[in-house]
Amino acid sequence: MTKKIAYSSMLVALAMIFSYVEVLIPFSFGIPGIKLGLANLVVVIGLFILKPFQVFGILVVRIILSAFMFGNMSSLIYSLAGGVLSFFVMLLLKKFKGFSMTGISMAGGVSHNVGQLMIASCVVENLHVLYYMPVLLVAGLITGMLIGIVGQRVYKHIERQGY
Amino acid sequence: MKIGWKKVAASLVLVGVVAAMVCFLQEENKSTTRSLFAMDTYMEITAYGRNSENAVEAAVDEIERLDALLSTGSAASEITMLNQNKTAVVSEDSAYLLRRSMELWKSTGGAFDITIYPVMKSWGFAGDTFRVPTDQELKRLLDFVDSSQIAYDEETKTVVLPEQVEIDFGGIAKGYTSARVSQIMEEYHIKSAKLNLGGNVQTVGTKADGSLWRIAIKSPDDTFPYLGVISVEDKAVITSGGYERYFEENGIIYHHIIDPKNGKPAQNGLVSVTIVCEDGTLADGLSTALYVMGKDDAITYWKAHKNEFDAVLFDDTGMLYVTEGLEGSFMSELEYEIVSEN
Amino acid sequence: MFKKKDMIFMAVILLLAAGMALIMHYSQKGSGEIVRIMIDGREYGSYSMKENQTIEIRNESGFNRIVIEDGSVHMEEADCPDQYCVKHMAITKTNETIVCLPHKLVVEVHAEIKENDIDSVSQ
Repeated sequence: MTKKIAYSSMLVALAMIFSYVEVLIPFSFGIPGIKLGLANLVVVIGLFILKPFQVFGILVVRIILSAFMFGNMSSLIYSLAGGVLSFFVMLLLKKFKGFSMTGISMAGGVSHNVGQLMIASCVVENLHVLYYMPVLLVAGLITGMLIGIVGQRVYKHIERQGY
Repeated sequence: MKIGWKKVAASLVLVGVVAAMVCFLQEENKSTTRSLFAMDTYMEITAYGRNSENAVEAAVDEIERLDALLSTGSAASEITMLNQNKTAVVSEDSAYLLRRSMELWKSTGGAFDITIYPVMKSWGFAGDTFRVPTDQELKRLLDFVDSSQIAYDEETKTVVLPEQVEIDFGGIAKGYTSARVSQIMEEYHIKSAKLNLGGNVQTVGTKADGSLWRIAIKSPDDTFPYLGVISVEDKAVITSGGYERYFEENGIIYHHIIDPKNGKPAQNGLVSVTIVCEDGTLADGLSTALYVMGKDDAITYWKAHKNEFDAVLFDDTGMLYVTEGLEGSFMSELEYEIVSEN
Repeated sequence: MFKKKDMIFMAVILLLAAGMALIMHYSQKGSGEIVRIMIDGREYGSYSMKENQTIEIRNESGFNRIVIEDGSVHMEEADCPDQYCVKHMAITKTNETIVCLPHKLVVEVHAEIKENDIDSVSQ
């Protein structure tokens, strides 16, 4: 139990470092909402080595803490919407066999953006925001792929060494 | 590939959530429109939102109630009875209208006067047979056009009219009705509604998508479609013009906006007056009063009451005047002049 | 590294994005005429694209300066934390938007307001 908590806390800390790195070096493409989502790396790998509820806990704690430290109330809502939706989509895809970690990560990236955009269109009460959808779909695919490729490499090492 | 029941359940939940969201959004975008004939005119009400059906139903009931209560055309209405019996204890609605009418009569220097009714009747504007009354007849009738002759006891809601004096709320009844309907919309938590009561427009909130209502002002003649378009929210937009109701005799056109000073159709240079303000009752009364006043007096009146309303005036030389508060929300292909305080 | 289902998923998303982009492209009828600013889902005001002008909005949520210049609109300045709206490229076509989420402000480009856009006639 103690080991589990320590392990989870470490992963939360790692995810927060990733969030911070992205605050320091923003990857802005001139369109709001597109970012690499480095912190998602922890969730993707976590899904393969930890129990789902544990990963979910890490995700929520990470989002809340980073929102307090680097963001604000509205960024909390968007991250939470994107994060939670992508978590469940990835979990579902993992249960359906036949997807690689890259595939699952891509689905996570896409659903993360879809979730954020849906919340955004509710908050500003404006459907025109959905205009960004195609761009964000592709962006989610690309960032998800990058995260997935990195994740797969890291996962190999973890598997070899055990944890 | 084996599919476990958990996956099936999860997928079903997902589909269910999406379906529920779609239903929710559709309910939210629901709209209800009703049209009806009341107060001698055609009315149309449209409300948006999940409660729109009940709200519009209640609005129609209220319009029919007020029509039965206030109409001079129906033999059983409170106002007809008052005009006949010369005394009555009146309802809350009539008491309110009487108070507002007296205020308007005072502030407009008599340009708005509910005791004009006998003169309206002599011109035939209360019924269907138009005629031109003789100067002598008008002179006799004008003796009884004077709101100061109305005796009203606020406490007991008792109204007493001298013999020969008759009143008609026709000049503000539709505006009051639109104000009442907007109250009802508010009670039903409707955030978006529009009413058109025979040309009297009242908007509640904004359009369902949040954009402003765009209300056109009808042009007095057919050479161009509209005088302009005003973008508003939560406002009444009420226009008075001689073109609304008139008849022709021996080549002369007689319209229905009677000047209480001489008992004749007002000829003070204005062709169309539009009032924009929150209070439909005020907008209705002022559109008539400012038309009667003519351009200069109308602008003087606006300067003294600029916090209460805005106006669009169109005069017989083809000039369009728009008061300051509408700058930015009024659009027109015609040239217009912004009227400011100085 | 990629499995078959990964590729299928990728293809589906790309097709979906392309389809949506295509639909949106064809629903855009060229350059817009009217810039509409919405705050918290309500219209703040509409402005002509043809006139160069600066619109400054200061309210409880903060400050935004929107500039219309030579038929395009951009966010010149805003005091929102993320600054996404300021970084956003200028927009010119109908249905394009610039969003300032922290201020719940949306700048939209619309086609010209036509006669049939009138909601009611006062007469």
